Amino acid sequence: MKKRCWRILAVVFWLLLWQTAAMAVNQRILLVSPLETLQALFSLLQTAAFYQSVAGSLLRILAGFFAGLVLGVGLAALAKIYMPLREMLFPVMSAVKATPVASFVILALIWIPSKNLSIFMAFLMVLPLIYSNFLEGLNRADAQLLEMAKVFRMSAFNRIRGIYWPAAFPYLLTAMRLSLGMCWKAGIAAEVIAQPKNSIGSALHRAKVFFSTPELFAWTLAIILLSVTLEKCMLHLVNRLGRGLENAR
Amino acid sequence: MRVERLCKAFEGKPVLTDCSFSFPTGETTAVLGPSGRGKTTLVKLMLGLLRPDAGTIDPEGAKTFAAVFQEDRLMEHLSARKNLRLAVSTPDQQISEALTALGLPARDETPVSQYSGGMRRRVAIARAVLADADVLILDEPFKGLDPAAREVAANFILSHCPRAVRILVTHDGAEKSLMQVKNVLDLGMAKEA
Ligand SMILES: Nc1ncnc2c1ncn2[C@@H]1O[C@H](COP(=O)(O)OP(=O)(O)O)[C@@H](O)[C@H]1O
Ligand SMILES: [Mg+2]
Repeated sequence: MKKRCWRILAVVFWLLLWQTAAMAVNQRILLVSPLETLQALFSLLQTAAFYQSVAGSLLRILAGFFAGLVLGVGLAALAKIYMPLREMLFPVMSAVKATPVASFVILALIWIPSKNLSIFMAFLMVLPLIYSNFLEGLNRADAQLLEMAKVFRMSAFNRIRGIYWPAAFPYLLTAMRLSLGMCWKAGIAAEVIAQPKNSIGSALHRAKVFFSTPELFAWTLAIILLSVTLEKCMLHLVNRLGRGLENAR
Repeated sequence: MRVERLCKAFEGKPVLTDCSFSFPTGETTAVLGPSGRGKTTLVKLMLGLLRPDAGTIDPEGAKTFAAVFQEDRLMEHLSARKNLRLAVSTPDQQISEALTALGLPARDETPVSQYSGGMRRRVAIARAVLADADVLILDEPFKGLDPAAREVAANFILSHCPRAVRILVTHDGAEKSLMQVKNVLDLGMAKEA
């Protein structure tokens, strides 16, 4: 309870400091106050373009996310079974993980039509994280249980349900949580550079070109709020999925 | 089932040397000896979970194996029923009967991770028995069970697996009569001889 009070107090403090700083600077083009940001967000909310941009970005980035998720899980499962594949993929996944988003964006711009760039960016953020975490989880499957499964000649499907999935699921969950935030941000960064139609990234870019700092702040706030909502939805969904599989007959 | 001149060492330290024995079908053979004498090592060799350094294992026609391992080895997040359902292909009805016979709740969705040690042990026993294998290995199966539960479990094993090669690992001589032991392989003696 005491901790909670401090939390709220801290938020109020920083908001007040922000407001004071904005009033002291008194130049909307440099620093927008929290109140003006909210105002700008509310006027954005009344335009159709806002929803088109949000929907466009969400659709593309989620498409990339799910593509990376499916491929990451699939490749990890194959790599667990087939050692040469694991060794082949190791340098690729390490390289993708280590490459900065900016390099990818510039490189990918040369190869990929701009409207699909953020899909690809999101995909690249998710793939190595899901792959390596899921594989790690599979490797953590209990060796004694696997011996038991061998003695009882359990089917592959039952081994997955009873042994591999419960071992790997927490790892998958962590990877999904981490990568969702990452690919949301990287996807929008890609949109700023590639500027596809109907996207948050191009809206951000426009706001910058027209020196509309309040709109810039408002979009940023919207991105943060969407990010939090997205993560909450995802966690909820994934938890239900996980439980569903464990309880399956 | 027969083992012949079986040898196994861990990091140069011999655990089994020249171990030969015949385990007859339809009878319970006890493997005795104080802890650390290699009882678990012997049954793991027989289950094919370890490779012998030397010697042979002849299943003599036995094809399927089941075991109560020294550890429970249950799928912790699953209920007792689901543990059985994933490991053996017994019809649901028989699974319920087995759980009831061993004094476990038959319709219970509680994950076995929340069961007591004795309950978990009984789930492991049910699993091994329901597998209905040619060779049934029981590595200290009654650990954590009170005398009454031991008797129930022993009768359950004997009545459900009368034709199996039954191998009872124990360092407790009292369990021998419970399981109607006919033959004894005493690793404690074998080592000193
Ligand atoms: N995987 C292993 N690696 C090294 N030493 C082992 C291993 N398994 C068993 N041992 C050793 O072999 C000896 C016999 O162990 P075990 O077969 O478990 O005895 P028991 O079941 O009779 O108590 C012990 O000294 C144990 O420390
Ligand atoms: Mg032992």
